[in-house]
Amino acid sequence: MSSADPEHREEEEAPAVGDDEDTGAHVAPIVKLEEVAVTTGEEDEDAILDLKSKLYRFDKDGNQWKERGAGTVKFLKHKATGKVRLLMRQSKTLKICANHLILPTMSVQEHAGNEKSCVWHARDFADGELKDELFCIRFPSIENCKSFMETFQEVAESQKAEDEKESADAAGLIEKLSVEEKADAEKKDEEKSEDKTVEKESASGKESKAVEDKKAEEPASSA
Amino acid sequence: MTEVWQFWIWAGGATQQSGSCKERLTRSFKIRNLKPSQYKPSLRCVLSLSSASLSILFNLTQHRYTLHSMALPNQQTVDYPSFKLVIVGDGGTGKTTFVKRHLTGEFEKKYEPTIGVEVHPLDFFTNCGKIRFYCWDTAGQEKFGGLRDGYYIHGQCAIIMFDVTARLTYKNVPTWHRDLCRVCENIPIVLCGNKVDVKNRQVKAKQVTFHRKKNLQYYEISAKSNYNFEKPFLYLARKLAGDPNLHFVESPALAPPEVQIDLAAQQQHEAELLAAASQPLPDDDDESFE
Repeated sequence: MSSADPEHREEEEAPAVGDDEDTGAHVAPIVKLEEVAVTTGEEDEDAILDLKSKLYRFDKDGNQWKERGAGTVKFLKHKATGKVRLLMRQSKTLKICANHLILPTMSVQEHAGNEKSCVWHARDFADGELKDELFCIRFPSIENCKSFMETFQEVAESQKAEDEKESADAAGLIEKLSVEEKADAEKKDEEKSEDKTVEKESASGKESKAVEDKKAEEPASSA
Repeated sequence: MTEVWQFWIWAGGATQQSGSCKERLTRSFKIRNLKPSQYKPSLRCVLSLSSASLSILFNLTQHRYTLHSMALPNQQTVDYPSFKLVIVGDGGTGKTTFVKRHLTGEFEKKYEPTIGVEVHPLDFFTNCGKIRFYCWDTAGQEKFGGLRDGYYIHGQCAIIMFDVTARLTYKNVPTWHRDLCRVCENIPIVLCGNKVDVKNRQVKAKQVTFHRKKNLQYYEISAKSNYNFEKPFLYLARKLAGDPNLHFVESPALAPPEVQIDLAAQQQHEAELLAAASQPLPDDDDESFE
């Protein structure tokens, strides 16, 4: 569960009493809606950073920045893959303003006219399709902006390390395949071993194969 | 204001307003399906329909959720509940700016009068699933009124917008309400006092009393500061569903797909970014962060 949820829930569940007095007429409902399970898409991720901010996108046609939304920006690290993405949601409506991976090649720089703002480029997936965007984000304080920039750079660096690790894993995989062949050869020589020994080796081989399959999937997914 | 129009046709005996047998033609009927990140017209369709013809067409397309897929070109059918929301009020009160704020997130400063109507689909995720409002953003200025109350037909909910910095726009609210209720009976209506971020407001909160007389809900809002900007939609959604506990939830954030890194493209992006970084941001720095 996202750490931001309690805040949003509180905002929804504790409105000002006077403000939300219902002075409207009673009207018959048009639809019957059933409660459904909410899927935020963040269930498998840990929040690294969570800050209030305002996001802009650069409109090339008009050569100007335009607001995209005000809300909270988060870096979310996937628990299994270790990949990190930036996700920004608008306050109140909780719609998505930005949604993109942090890649090793990405960098963030200061906005020229504002020390509480910084800019970067990304292939954004907020609308459900990849789109090149130039983003600018503004924070309530200089400290928050620095924190964002530092975390952004750290994440990009760590993703570079992750990429290198994946390459190393691939090399290790090849080596492991050779070892596996040797193991198979040895196994044939020991055909007359006791049943217990054979069973044990078989289990070991199964585990090895499972690991192999798991690692084999990683290169494919990154391709 | 003297009412002047260039075209009119006789509509037999079928009229929306008693005593009048003249109908006005719409000059343009804009339908735009915008993605949140862009505000570009995807289709402009010019239709000439009298109110009576419009009514017949809409009756033919009656549907459980009152979809208008046949009557309105480029309106894709959706498999979740959708509602026709009519937005009315004097010109310049911020109707289009309010809708655009929700669609793209941007705040449009320049005033450009809406001609006839512009229909925008606006989706929200709730704890009871996804819903859609077809926002019928109507002309506030008399001379651009097009079909005027013809756009209200089969409206299922409504927003009446006035500007708290212009007393006249509040004085005209009863007229908008009267015209709306003649066409749409017993629908939930939200009265919105916009521009409450401005210091010198002319209509004080205490002075707004019309909603209590007519059983409307009232919200003070600011399309500029986003103050209460979600409240009108949340209120209407709760009324339409008959669920006072309905609330907005996170839109599902799909995992972004892997992307191929193109060094040449990257260099171009970096150059563009340098140029963009020198462009000023559109709003004041001292705005509050919610």
